[in-house]
Amino acid sequence: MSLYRSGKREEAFNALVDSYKERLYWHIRRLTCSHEDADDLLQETFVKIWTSLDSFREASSLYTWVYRIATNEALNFLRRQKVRAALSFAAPLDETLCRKIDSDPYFNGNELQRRLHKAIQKLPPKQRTVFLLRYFDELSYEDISRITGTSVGSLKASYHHAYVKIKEELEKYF
Amino acid sequence: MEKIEKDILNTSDDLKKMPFTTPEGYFEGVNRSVMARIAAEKSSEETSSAERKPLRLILAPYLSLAAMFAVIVCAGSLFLKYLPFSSTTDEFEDMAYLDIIPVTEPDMIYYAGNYETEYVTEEDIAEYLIYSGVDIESFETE
Repeated sequence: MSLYRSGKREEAFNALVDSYKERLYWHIRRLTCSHEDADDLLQETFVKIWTSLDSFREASSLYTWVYRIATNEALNFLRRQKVRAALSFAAPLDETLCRKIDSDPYFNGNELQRRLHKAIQKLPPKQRTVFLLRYFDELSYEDISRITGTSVGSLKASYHHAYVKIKEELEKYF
Repeated sequence: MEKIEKDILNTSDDLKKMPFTTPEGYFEGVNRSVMARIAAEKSSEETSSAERKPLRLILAPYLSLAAMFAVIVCAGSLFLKYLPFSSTTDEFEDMAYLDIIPVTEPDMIYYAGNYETEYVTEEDIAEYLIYSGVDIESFETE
């Protein structure tokens, strides 16, 4: 941010993209289950970051701020997909996401991993977000609270429910 | 005996690994794609702002249509007001009075102005009969 404040805006922005692109990509990819959607949303996230950098207040951490933008982009995208599916009488969104996992040419995991990611897609959006940020990115509840704008107590409850549901789902098969 | 809970999410090492991959060299191109997208959005914003017409130009056709309509209405009402037409309106007013004036023969109000009584005299009858070739005798026998 000091580089950005010194007037080297593009240089600072490129450094920011370099340090966050992989983490944000995988976070969005876990939420959307598709490389094409994740790529598009990652670019949109960075465009939003570029246009909002002037208004970024360093009181909050840059790390949680960029995660917050990426999470909102992905969740808004999923919400639009859900509405579109409902209006066109198509299959529910969780079924579509599970099918995406089955037909994803970039999926190279084992059956257990496939079941895990399918079980994640069946969770409600809030539980899914908390589970992904806690289980895979291993963020603290305080950081997740800053990203999602939800209290730590509520996050802990959501994570517990998500954890139990996924464990039960996996134990059916393994 | 210690009870060990089976927890597949804690014991499996594979589960936290990312099972997805990306196309070859994808992350190297992200910076370039993002900068290209920002440039594209910036140019499209500039184009749209340059193409944006001022409000007066957008409203001009609608305002001229409204002005034309107003002129036509004014001219029409002036034309109807000042040009001499048949007195249809007066006749309608008279007919309207028929219902409110208590007279024994209300139709007479309407006809009062133009009505002239024409009487047929015997001379007229005789003239008509002579003209149509009817004999007095045959007329009297019938």
